[in-house]
Amino acid sequence: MAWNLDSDRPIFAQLAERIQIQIVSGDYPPGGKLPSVRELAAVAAVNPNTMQKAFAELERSGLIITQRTNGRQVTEDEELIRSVRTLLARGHVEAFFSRMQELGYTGEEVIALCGKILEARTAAVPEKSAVYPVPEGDKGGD
Amino acid sequence: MSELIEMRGLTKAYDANHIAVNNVTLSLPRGRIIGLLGPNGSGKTTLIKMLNGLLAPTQGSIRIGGCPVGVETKAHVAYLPDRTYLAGGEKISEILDFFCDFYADFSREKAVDMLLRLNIEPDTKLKALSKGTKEKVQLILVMSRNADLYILDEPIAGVDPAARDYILKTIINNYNPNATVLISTHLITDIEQVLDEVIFMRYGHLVLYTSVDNIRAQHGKSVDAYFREVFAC
Amino acid sequence: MLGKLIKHEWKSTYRMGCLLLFITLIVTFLGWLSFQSPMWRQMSGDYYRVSFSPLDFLSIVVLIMYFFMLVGITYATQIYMGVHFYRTMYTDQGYLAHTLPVGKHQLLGSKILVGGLWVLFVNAAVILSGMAVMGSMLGAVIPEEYAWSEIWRELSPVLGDFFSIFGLDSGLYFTFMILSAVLGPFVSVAILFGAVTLGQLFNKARVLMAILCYVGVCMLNSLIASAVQSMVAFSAWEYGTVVNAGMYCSLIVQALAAVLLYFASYQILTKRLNME
Repeated sequence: MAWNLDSDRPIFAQLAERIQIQIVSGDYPPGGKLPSVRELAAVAAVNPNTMQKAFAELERSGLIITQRTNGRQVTEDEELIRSVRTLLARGHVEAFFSRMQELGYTGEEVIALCGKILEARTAAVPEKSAVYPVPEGDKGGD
Repeated sequence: MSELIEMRGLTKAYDANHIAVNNVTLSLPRGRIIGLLGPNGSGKTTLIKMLNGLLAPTQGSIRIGGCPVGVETKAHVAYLPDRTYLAGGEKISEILDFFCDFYADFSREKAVDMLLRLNIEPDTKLKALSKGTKEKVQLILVMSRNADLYILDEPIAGVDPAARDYILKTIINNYNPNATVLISTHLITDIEQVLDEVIFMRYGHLVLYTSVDNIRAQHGKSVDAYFREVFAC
Repeated sequence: MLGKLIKHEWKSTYRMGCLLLFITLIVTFLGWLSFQSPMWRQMSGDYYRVSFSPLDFLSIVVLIMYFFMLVGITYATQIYMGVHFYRTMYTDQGYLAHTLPVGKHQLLGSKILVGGLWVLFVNAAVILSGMAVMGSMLGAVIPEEYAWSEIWRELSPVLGDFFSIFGLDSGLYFTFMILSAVLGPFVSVAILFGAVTLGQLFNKARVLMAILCYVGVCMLNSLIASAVQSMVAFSAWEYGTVVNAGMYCSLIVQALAAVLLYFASYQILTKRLNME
């Protein structure tokens, strides 16, 4: 199944984001091996050169480490993964808050609404446990 | 290493009023998947036919891997024309023999493997194949070669989405960092994400040669959208 | 590469070539059959008591058919070779032929060699067929008590007279006949293929132009041959010499035309190829 990509941004950046999400969500665990450029390019139905570029981007950020003998693997630095994860999460929350602000919600109203919705959801489906236990300090944002 | 393809002042005039390719100077590197884009009648196929020695240029020169178009370049260029050359009462396996005999870089195992994946029996006679299947067989013949340059003329025009995905997957799976794939098409959206670079042609002129990511980064739109803008009437 | 080209060219013309030879065989059988009617047997006896039955009429019709079919087969072979050359070189199939990593001399050479070989085979088959039917006619007409050696003994002085009337040196004549029988097919195929290739110089109606080129070359050829013939006729008064000169000249002119067209084709393929 080819990956769905936006048509207006560089493809390599979107690929890098996809892989980044797969790393922080634990699909690719810390220290785990990554598929080869060719394999992943075939899965995503993109040009291998572009996939290569995405990997290079992730290498620069430190999430991926290339070993000459062992191919590419995810960094074992869980601290780094967590901080990237937090960064991504904050981005989403910031965006969410500004959208809610457009609707005229205050911060408290948003939190209250979130609480209600969360309650309803947990009643319906048991919450999935996160792969990475969120450290105490991160809970509820800082 | 020098560029894979070098065209200088390449021109093809069918007659005084009809200049299909007009003074194109262009160098293409190895290891890229390059889209040759343009509306119908913009000179894509003419350019490709000159690269394959099927048309003699009116002016200008072509070098592929440093050689002028000839026996040497044909040994290293795998070409998928925009038409089917498979005809007659031969079996597919006999065409495989033919390719084995003439192209030193042809891998029979690879071809048979790809055929069987598509449930095409190598014993089938060419006459018994549908047009779509013939096109797939031709693509397999081309991609089973270990060439320096693959030239695919409109490989996805008129095929169903499943076949299109198969073709793109085949191109990606056979990607080789020392080879370049040149794909002509007017259906850009379908193919955009496998391309490194694009060449825009219009009325036989070279309009633009740049990378896909460049277009997206600079113009904030897909190659397809940018193409529509450039070629808007 | 030439060997491989010849092999594949042979494979792709094999079916049709064999079919033509097979048809020749069947046609020959028809020819033989036509001499099995009672009329011919009676001829060897008393001429005045020959009766003519519908079966005999049929046998005459079959004999005429035989003759036309033999002529038809030789033409069909040429036409098939021309069409096959055109199809594999200048239609969509030509996209394969012209992108093979082989030289144009090899490409043309393999086509002419294989095409000429088939024409040679069919011609040989036609000649053999003619001889076989002739034999069956002699077998039917000549009284049974005659032995073949006797026939030959009586016939050879007649042939000798025939040659001397036409001023033919029989040794030279046979050498020439064999030469033209062996070389002729390759020469005619080279001219045919050359004409088809000349047609490619035009932007439109390339098939029509190819046919016109072929007709033109043939007409030019016979024009030159008859011109030479008439020139010889002014200097020599013997009838035979004139006929000979025409014949020799025709082959030489054809061979020259073939060589010329071959190189023209080569030039077109290397410098002026314009696949539609």
